[in-house]
Amino acid sequence: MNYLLPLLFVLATVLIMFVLIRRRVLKERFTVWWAVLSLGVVVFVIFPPLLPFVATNLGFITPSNFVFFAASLMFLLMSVQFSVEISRLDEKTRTLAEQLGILRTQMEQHIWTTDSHGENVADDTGVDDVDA
Amino acid sequence: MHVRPLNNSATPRRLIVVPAWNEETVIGGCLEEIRRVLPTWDIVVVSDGSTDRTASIVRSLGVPVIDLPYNLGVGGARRAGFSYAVREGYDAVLQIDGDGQHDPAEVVHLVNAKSALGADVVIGARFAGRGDYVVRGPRKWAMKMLSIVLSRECQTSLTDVTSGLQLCGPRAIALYSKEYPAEYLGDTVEAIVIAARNGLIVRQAGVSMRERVGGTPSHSPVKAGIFLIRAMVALAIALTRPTQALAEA
Repeated sequence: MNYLLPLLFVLATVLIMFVLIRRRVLKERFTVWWAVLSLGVVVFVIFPPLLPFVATNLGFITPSNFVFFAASLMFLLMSVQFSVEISRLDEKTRTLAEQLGILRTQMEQHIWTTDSHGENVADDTGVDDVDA
Repeated sequence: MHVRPLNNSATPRRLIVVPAWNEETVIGGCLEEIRRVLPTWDIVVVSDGSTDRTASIVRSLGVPVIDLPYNLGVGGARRAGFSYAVREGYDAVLQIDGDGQHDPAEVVHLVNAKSALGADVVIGARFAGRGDYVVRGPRKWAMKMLSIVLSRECQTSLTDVTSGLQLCGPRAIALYSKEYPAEYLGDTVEAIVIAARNGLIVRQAGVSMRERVGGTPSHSPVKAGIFLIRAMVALAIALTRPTQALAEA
C-alpha cells in the first residue's frame, strides 16, 4: 500500500491548483511545473520498478537521490522562471511610472496654461509651497 | 499667463531634461542658472521619486516637473525625459544633472559640436582638453577601459563615457524614448552602444565640470573596484546583446 501516500499527494496538488486557478489567484502558466510534477509522480507510482531502473541507468546509486536531484532541478528551473517574470513585471511597472509621471506633468501644464488667474492650482500633492 | 507657443515657427524646440533625486538644496539655484544662461530652451525636471521638497520647489519656480511616483534610477528618469520630449515634439534634448556639477555655460560647446560634426548624440566630456578633473585607481582603469571599447564601437574618440551631460538630436530622442536601459551604468554605457548599433553618430565635446555642490563624490577604493566590475559586466552585456530590429519612428 505504498501507492496511497504519493497518489494522495498528487490528488491534493491537482485539487489545490484547480481551486487556485478557479479563484483567479494563480495564472495557468505558473501551474505547468506542478502539472509536470504531478504527472511524474503518477507515472512512478503506477510503475514502481521504473524509479530504480531510471535511477541506476542515470548513475544514481540510491533511487531516493535521483528523486532529490530531480526535485531540486525543478525548483531551480522554477526560480529561473520567477526571476524572468519579476524582471518583466519590473519593466512594466517602470513604464507605468514613467507614463504616469508624464501624464501628471501634462495635466499640470494644461491647468497652468488654462487657469486665467495664474494660480498654482496644479499642485495636488498636498505639499505647501509658495505660489510664484 | 504662460502659453506654450505652437511649433509652427522655424525655430527648433529644445528641451533640457534635469534628472533630480532629493536635490532640494541645489535644484533651485541650478534651474535659475540654466534659465539665465539658456533662456531659449524649455526645461523639465524629472524628480526621481524624491522624498524631499525637490518637486514642489521646481513647481514654485514655474518649471514643469515629471514627478515619478517612486525611484526608478537615473536611467529610468532619463528615459521618462525622452518619452516626454517625444510626446511634446521636441527636436533636441539636453540631459543635465540637477546637482550643479554641470555648468550650463558649457552647453554651447555641445551645441556647436553637434552641428559641426552632424552628430545625433554629443557627450560633454571632462577629459577632452578642457577642465582639470582627475580620477585615480580602479575607477580610472574602469573609465579607461570603457572609453577604449566604446571609442571603437562608435569609431570616434570618447574619453568620458559616463558623463551625464548629453545632447541628443531627433533620431536619438526617438530611439531612446523606446530603448533606454535602466540598469546601473546602462544609462550611459549601454545607451552609447545602442546608439552606435542603430547607426547613430556619437561624438563628444570637451567641457569643464565643477565640483558637486550637494553631496560628495565617492573616492573609496572598494566602491571604485565595484564600479570597475559593474562597468565590465555592463559592457559585456551591452556588447553581446542581440541588436533588436528597431521599428522606424
